[in-house]
Amino acid sequence: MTLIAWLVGFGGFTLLVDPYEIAPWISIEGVNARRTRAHEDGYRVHVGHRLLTSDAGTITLGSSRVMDGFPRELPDWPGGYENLAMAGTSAFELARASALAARNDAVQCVVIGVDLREFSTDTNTQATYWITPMAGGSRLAALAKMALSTSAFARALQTVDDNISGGSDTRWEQAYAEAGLPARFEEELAKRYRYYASYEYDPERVAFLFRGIDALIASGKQVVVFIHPVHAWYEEARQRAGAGPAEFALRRDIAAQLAARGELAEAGQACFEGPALQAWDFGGFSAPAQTAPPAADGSAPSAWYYVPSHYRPPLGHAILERLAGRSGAFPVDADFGRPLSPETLDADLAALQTGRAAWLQSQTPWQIHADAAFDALDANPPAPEAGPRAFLTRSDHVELERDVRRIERDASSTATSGGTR
Amino acid sequence: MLFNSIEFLFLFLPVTLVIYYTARRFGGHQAALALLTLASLVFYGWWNASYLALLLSSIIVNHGFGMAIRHRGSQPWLAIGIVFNLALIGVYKYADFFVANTNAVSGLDLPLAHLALPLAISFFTFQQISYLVDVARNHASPGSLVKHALFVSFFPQLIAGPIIRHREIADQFDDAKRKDKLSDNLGIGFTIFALGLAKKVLLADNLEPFASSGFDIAAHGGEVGALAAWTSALCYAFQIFFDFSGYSDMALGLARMFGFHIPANFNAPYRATSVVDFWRRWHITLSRFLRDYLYIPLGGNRKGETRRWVNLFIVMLLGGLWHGAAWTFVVWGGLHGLGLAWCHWIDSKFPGGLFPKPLKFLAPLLTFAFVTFAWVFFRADSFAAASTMLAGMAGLNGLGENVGDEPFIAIIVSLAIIWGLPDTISAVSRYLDPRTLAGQENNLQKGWRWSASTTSAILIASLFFIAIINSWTVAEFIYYRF
Repeated sequence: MTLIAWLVGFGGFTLLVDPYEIAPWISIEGVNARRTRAHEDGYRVHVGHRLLTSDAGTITLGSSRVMDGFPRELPDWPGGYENLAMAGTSAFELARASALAARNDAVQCVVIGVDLREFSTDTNTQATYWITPMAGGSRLAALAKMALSTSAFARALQTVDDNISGGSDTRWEQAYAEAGLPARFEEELAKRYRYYASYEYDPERVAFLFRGIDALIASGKQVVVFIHPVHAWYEEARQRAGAGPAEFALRRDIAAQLAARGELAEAGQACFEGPALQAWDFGGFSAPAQTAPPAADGSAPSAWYYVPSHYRPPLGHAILERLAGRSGAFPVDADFGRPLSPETLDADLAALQTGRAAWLQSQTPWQIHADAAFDALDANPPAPEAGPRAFLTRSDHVELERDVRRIERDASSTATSGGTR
Repeated sequence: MLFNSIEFLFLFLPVTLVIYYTARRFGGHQAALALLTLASLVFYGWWNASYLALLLSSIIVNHGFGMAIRHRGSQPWLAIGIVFNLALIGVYKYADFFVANTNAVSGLDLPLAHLALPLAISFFTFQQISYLVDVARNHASPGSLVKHALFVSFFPQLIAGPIIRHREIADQFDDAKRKDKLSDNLGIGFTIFALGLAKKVLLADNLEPFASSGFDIAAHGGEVGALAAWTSALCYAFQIFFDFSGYSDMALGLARMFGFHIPANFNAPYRATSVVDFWRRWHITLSRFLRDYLYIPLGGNRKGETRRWVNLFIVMLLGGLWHGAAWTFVVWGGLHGLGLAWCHWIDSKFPGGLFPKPLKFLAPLLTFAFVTFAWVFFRADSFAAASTMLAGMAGLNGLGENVGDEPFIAIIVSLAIIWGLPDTISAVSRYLDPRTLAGQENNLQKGWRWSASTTSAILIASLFFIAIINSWTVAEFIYYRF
């Protein structure tokens, strides 16, 4: 009886409040009408379900860079568009998300934003990953797990409290308040340098992500993998902290994954010109990346960036337009974004080097400022970030492989039966 | 289907319990056993239905051998049966190992089969061999096919043991007049299951990241400092204990929910005062199997001390190889073989023990240190990784990176539990059948005992609930891969 009371009370409350907005039709004024905590835990619980239920033709996947840097909605996008990014995500989660999205027939094209962060030896998942359909594939099981999860219960309590008191998550809402951005822009110089000083690149994760992408391709969807356009301060922090070789390695490994899949035909319902799988490099020292940081007095905000690590939606929109072969409503430099493939790899790496050389020679006040800040950090290096390093496990591979093979098998049998009809 | 998965906890287990007890009440004992067998096959097939054919083939063929041994004599059927079982495991588990080593020695380039390892094959193969030997020795009767199928596939113990002997469970299957007290079966079974689940999800799974960190760095060619090496090795020693003994407790509890008593597999192994003592407390049913079906047939201690040491060494080498097709497992087994031989030699030279009374506390400490050292070979992916870890533990790479406070807190908590609290079978000993205690009655720890009361029921239900809401990381049991 005690156990039943615990399960019903705890689980029932969480399900009723539905803090992650999985069942938005359950809306009770004063209890959960405002889902003030749906964004918590990186949106991944909400996203996990939307990967299966979204009716958008194009979805974007990625970390908070995609979450904050791409529009939430694009009403005019052909076939519909939905931003399904998850803050703090990893190649592991993106691979599982890809395998899950492959089961959604409505989705035609998947755009995946990545950079070094997703391929680090940091932890594979956030705790709430395990209560999403990405872990196991079943919506019903995920719903039951969410109902019986401490994270979801805590968010449910916060949601009810917010609805009763009229409050909200001010930290979330004010994350990009313009007044605070100049200081945050400045802080990131040391913060990113410190992170990349202990950064470790794990090439196994690139292969893992592309194995998840195989499920999308097998189910007839078009996939575009792109490297994020972070600000030049961020790019330079990586270079100065010693992660420059990893930048090259990532691009080489992506090109190798494309090479391993050979020439792919166009997808059945393509959103972008070109083959079913393509990669683009929007990283490096592009024109937007080299733009001035926000003025300290707040008089001139950055047009493209909130902070060096996170760009604004107009730049994300520009990426989509560039992929679609349009100049778009937010035109940027014509060289913004380079196709990345085995054939273009050398040119891409060269562009990365020349871009950095140009930035270093630009001698703009903000370039000189960043250079001086990094010189000071080189002279007196901060303690690198320490934490247990995580690697993909045997069961990670086994589970992904099982899911991808099932989709490939289904696609193959569908093609066979279609061919004999 | 993992014991800590939502499908198992909220679908398979309750449905199977309802079906079993309903069938027992209205359909009779045989019908209940048949349905329990069917449920066990569903449980096994949930992972990969294609391996169900392998399990069923093993059951049918071995039952045929059992009948032939009973009706036509042991030979040649016992030998053929053992060869059949060893061939089965040999093909699936050791073929690539053998081919890779042949290639390495001969310079040939024979292709590897890359067969996936069917779940539980190591465990059900041993049970089948013990069944054939016991039938040949007249310690067991072949029984009916359904009961044989249930003996092999009974879901609580199918995947990772305990390794049950036919005669330990057959009489329970045959006892059609057994009177079950449902509340006892469910209450005691549920309590043991909850303790096992808590060990797994609250302790083992939380130790895993600290354990994996150092080993994974070593596996990827990195250098491991003393802090990372020692915290990883110690956390792994605790993780594997909480993981495997947690699984075994769950198996014990699940079997009890259905009214069956299976032997305990663990009894506070890290309190062992020697390697010999360790193997009387760790994976007890495997130790028993190796003793009765390998060590004694090899001659045991009947042919002198030297031969005894050689026999122990051989048994432990094969025991190591049973865990996995890799030389690291063989070395792990070999180390334990040497440890066992050493302890027997010490016993013969110092009948009163190596340490004087005031220093007796050193015995469990040194045993634990030895076992932890040996676990490095068990956990490491390769000799290179094991060497890196051992170099780190020896301080050859300096202190290395700061690993933070958390691994140390985890180690202190684990030590407090292991050395401060009785293990599960001691805690619930007053409710266990002699068949479960299986010779451990005189080896129980003092201290806290669970007793049936409203308060303890509420506490166990709450512990179970806490374990459930922390279960969703779906970390596989370590022994599932063997």
